[in-house]
Amino acid sequence: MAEMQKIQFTRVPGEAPAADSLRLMRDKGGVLLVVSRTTPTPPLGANTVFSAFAPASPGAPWSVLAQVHEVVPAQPAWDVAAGPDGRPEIVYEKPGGAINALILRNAAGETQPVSAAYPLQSFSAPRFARPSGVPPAWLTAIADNRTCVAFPPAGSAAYHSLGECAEGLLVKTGVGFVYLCKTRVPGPVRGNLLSPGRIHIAALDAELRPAGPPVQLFGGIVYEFDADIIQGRLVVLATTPKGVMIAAGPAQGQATRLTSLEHALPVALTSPAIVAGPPGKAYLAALDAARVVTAEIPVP
Amino acid sequence: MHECSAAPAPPVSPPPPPVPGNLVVTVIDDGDGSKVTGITVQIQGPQNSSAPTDGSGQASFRGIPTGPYTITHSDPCFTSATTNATVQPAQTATADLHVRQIHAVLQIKELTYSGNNVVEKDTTGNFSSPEWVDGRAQADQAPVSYKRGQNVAFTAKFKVTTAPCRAEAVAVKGSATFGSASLEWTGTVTVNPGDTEVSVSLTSNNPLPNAVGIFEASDISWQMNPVSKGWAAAGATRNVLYVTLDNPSGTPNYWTLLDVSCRAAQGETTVSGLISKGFSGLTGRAISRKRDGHDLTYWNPANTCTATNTALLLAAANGAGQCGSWAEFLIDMYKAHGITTADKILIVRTQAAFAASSEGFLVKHWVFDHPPASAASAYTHFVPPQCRTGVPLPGQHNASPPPAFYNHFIVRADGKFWDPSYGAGPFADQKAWENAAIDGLFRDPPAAAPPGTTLQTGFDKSLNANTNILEFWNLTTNTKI
Repeated sequence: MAEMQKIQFTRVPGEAPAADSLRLMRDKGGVLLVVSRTTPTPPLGANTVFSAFAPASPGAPWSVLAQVHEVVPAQPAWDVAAGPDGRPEIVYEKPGGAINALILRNAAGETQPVSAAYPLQSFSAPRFARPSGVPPAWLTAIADNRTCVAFPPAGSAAYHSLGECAEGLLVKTGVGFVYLCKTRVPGPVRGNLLSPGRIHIAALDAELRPAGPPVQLFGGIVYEFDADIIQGRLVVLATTPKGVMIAAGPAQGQATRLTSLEHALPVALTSPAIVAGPPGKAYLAALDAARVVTAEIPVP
Repeated sequence: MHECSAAPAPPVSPPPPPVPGNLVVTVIDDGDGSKVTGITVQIQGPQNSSAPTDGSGQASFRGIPTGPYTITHSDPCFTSATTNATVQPAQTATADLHVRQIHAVLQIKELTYSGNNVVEKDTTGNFSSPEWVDGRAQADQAPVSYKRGQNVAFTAKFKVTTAPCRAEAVAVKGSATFGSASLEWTGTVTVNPGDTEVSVSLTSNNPLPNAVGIFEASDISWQMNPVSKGWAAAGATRNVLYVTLDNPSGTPNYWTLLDVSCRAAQGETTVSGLISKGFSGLTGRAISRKRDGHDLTYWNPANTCTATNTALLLAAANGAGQCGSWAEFLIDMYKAHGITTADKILIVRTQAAFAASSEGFLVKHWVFDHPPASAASAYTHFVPPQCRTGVPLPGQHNASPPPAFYNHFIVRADGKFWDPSYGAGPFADQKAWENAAIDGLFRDPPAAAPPGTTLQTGFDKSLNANTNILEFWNLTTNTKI
């Protein structure tokens, strides 16, 4: 990877809402930045508000993308992607108290259960397969805190197990996929419950079968990660104890051979997200003490 | 002329030669009162001389000039000593020179346990060896865990605070009492001149008590005895010792699990007893995480909560966990004692109802206002305003957990149901749990519900005490109970 300039994260202009988590997606209009905030609603449940902002239109206000009230006051993990109509779809955890279901919500507010075929299992940490900007081929989640599974993105269907993992993400690379998996390691958490872990990468074929052994992507500890295909390059962004790690390499062929570089930052970030930005650029976003920060870097 | 001449002086006889005297020095080892043989004694005075002590510990200086003498020795194996004596003519002066032989002096420095079950510091990694280190704060000494009835073994490292002048064997001994068991560790270590530390592997002469226990204040008192000269103190060590029913199986040996269970089930010798008394550690709903003392809560009294298993509960900064955390906490607590027969039980209205996210249950206490009349098997009330929450069932470190759930985890062990989230149980059967835990059911409001309705409630449990309105699923076997 070419020597990279220092990454400068800056807060987005205007009144951005305080946020618990953040994701990026690409739609027809370009980059869409989506954040969520969950607030208890005593005596019963919690309300989660999803707000969106288009960085390419800095004068445009934040808009409420969706609101979800749940009887059980858990902060849902979620992801967003362009649906078949090009508009944002959200997949989120519906907390039951003991086990979570996965719910897919389209831009019209219609919902459908994703995990209904598995009523005795709990699902967490849903992620749409990348690349962003196209309807995702799969969505992944962690079943029973143990196994990463991949669901077809529509309807309630059987899942495909990808193996033990604490957090997983699929990235489509030509005919196959790259599977990114974080495994937990002992150590202090960041924030309330961001466990330290190591990130591995493995090539899968079109049917999600292993096409090569998993390799460790980065020697150090990571907390959260995101990835996208940007100008034919697979780019991974992860938060680390020192700052962020960016790994990049060709998205075709030996897609698991990425070069990683860690960048020290003055503050701890959470919810790292990455998508293709303006031509030649990668667009990065994260949360800095609950506020949105973004950066643009040359495609690594 | 008168000649006069001085009379010749009488001849002066030369002074008699000085009469010498004798000096006999006895060298005494104050360590045991014995006479020291073979040590070279030096005298300084009118004459400087040296002589070794004989078999009686005496060095004799015969025919030495009289006068005051300073008596010393320079043997590095003995403490330095000085005394004085004055030799008189034709007399034998005596003096005692008091010394102590220099032996090795040891002080306990480290203990590295073996044969123990390593304790995990509540998701931040295993406690490392050595488990006890001199100078480390007592609170930072590592806890140690053994299965009951086992002998305790470790490598003891001693600091050599005084090295001997020649190699010598030093006996070491540690002794401690753990409940009804008195354990002693004995061994011998060779200490050479120049040694700064020595180590010896030791195993207790007796096993630990054959019952679950926790020993927080049992010191091992150390003694040393160089070349059988007598026992002397060599320091004390203290590690919190957890004694488990059996070796752990299938879970990290988390510190908090051990502490709660061993404290609650002290003296237990059976699986059934451990299950019952171990659970009593949760009935006070006052569990704190050992690594930082943070309260562990069932849900979060102030905010949302996401932890759903033991590891996440112990890792979370806010110490808050859902029922999955608490059910697995109990199951893992039993696993820490080798008990793997506890099952996780999922409670749902029905499988289909949860899949559709449409029905759940009301955790005590709810109030069904009348009218409308409540019913045993129908949805009758809208929330708000016809049905409202009352005084809630307290959960772990939380006086007011969420009042309604779609599903809940409890545990079945030893043929009974246990609800660790609320510290409640045991329950003989599903009916007992339902009557103790829930007041009815809820569902998403129908389209015809008044505006502002968040739930519709019914199936008043007080009218339904003999009928189970939920399903219990054993997640070990994926079968309905």
